[in-house]
Amino acid sequence: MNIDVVYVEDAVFDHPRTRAILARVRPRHVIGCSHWGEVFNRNGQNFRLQKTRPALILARKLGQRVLPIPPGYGCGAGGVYFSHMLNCLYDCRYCFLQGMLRSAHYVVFVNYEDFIDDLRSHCAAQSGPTWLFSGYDCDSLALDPLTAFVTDCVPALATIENAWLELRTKSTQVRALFALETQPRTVCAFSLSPAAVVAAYEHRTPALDARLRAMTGLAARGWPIGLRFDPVLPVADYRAIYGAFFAAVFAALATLSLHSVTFGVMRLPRDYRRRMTRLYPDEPLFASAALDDTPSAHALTQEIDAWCAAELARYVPRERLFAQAV
Amino acid sequence: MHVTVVCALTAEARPFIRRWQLARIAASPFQLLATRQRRVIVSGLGVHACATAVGYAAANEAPDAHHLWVNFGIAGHAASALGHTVVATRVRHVQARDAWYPSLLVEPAWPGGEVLTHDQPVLDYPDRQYCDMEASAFMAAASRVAPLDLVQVVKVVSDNREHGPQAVHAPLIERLVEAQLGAFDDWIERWQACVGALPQARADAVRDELLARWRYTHAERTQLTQLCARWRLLGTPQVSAELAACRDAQALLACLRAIVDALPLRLPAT
Repeated sequence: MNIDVVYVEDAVFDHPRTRAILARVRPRHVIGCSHWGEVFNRNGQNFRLQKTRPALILARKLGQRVLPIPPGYGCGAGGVYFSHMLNCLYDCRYCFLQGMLRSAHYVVFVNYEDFIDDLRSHCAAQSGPTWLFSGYDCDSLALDPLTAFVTDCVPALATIENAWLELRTKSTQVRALFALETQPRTVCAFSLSPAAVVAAYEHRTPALDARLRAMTGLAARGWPIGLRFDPVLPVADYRAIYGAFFAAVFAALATLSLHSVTFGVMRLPRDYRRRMTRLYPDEPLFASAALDDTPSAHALTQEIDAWCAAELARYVPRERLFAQAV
Repeated sequence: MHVTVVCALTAEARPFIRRWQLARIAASPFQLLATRQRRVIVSGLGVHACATAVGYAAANEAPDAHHLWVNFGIAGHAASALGHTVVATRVRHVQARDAWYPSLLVEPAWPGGEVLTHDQPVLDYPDRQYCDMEASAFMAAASRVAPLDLVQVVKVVSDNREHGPQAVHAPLIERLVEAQLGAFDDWIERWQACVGALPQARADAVRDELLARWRYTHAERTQLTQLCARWRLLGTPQVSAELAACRDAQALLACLRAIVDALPLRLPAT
């Protein structure tokens, strides 16, 4: 992957991780900035234009690094998420980040140790098992060859006795995990969609087959595997498309013991959808009334949800199947 | 793609005017010269003049969502040779804390540099930055009328510690600017390709036909445009007998909304 422009916050210019990332990226332009928000949060940026040549911003995350997950998370309810990175290598047309963030540049917060300390403190204050989600504002693994997040963080987080970590990804960047000792409380959760959806909407992502191969490779080494059918798109012939897809996935993974399977129909806050529609006025997905905040759209969502639950129950034990209502 | 170049001095603008064969559109309050897709405005020196000129040029522009704005002008630098040219990667007013970071979505023809805007000509050059008198105001003003990613600053060194600002004269400025215009045009072409990623306005025959049949308020016209755009993305629009029978614009919009909302989302055929 080519990243030609890197902005570096003055405070982390000499951070060893900054040096290491710059050595891996070897950008044409390295530009200093006093705060990452000066670059990332300015009004008037065009997410779609920036996706043509995203820059990387290396910064330090101050303030709240550990945040509660929204209510409605089926698997890992009551857990927290943390974002060592904002934005994603991929360009999924349905991704809510396009509506939430002002910039398409990648931000990597290099102070991983502060995240680990905060997560450790959070878990220490909990009485039971606690879920830590890393892939909420980014793909956990896609940029790992540059960020070394897996090598630097997964073993450290695995030492927190009551912590369960979810790495959410569409990527096939699992080499760093192969190199680690298997962690029984680190779930590698792969987002999967039918090949036709990948082709139409998940731009620059690995093909479905490649994701399945990465998954089986990890499972063979004993890593817990999760499947994330999220979002399920409200397409006209969803039963045929997703029915065949579920059958194919579970046939390919028949020998795997899955940790968890979650599913959720696509949903977008109204403001995000408005911004995304403005960015992509030529995108049929955003033209569809199925994404509206109307009774008929809600009824369709419930119908698809119920169908997915019934269909997936044919392959997955009920106790491992979770609906995402976020 | 339309390009507007904002220059502080006539001597900076003249090479553009010659190269692009621009015709004068206005002489006052600012000199504004243009062809169909290229414009140059001469703002005068200083931040207030520059910001005002951007506003004036914006008010005079042809409606076009994809418009590149460039502040092109001379700057001082401690050690760089005369004619050395930079594209601004960071722009700040000397008295401000916040900085602007013009996007490098297109690989520039010149190296990047930091531009520091002053209210007076600078004699005591800082070691690193390029000193000018407009760029920060240009960024602030132009980013209000165009996407921030399409607002750029290019500076040509006209003075340094060896060759002070008192020795800068119009023929020298013209020569320095002229020498960069080939690279500038190449750079604009690359921007053109980049901006090609954005959606282009499309003709919509069905919308035009529906617009012609009834009278609409401004809000209704907007709704019609949006519904027709959705219709085109989800189906095959045509003015049916049901639509043609509507009594007025309100009835038409209700009927059209029902049609469009009922259209299912289909995956593209692979």
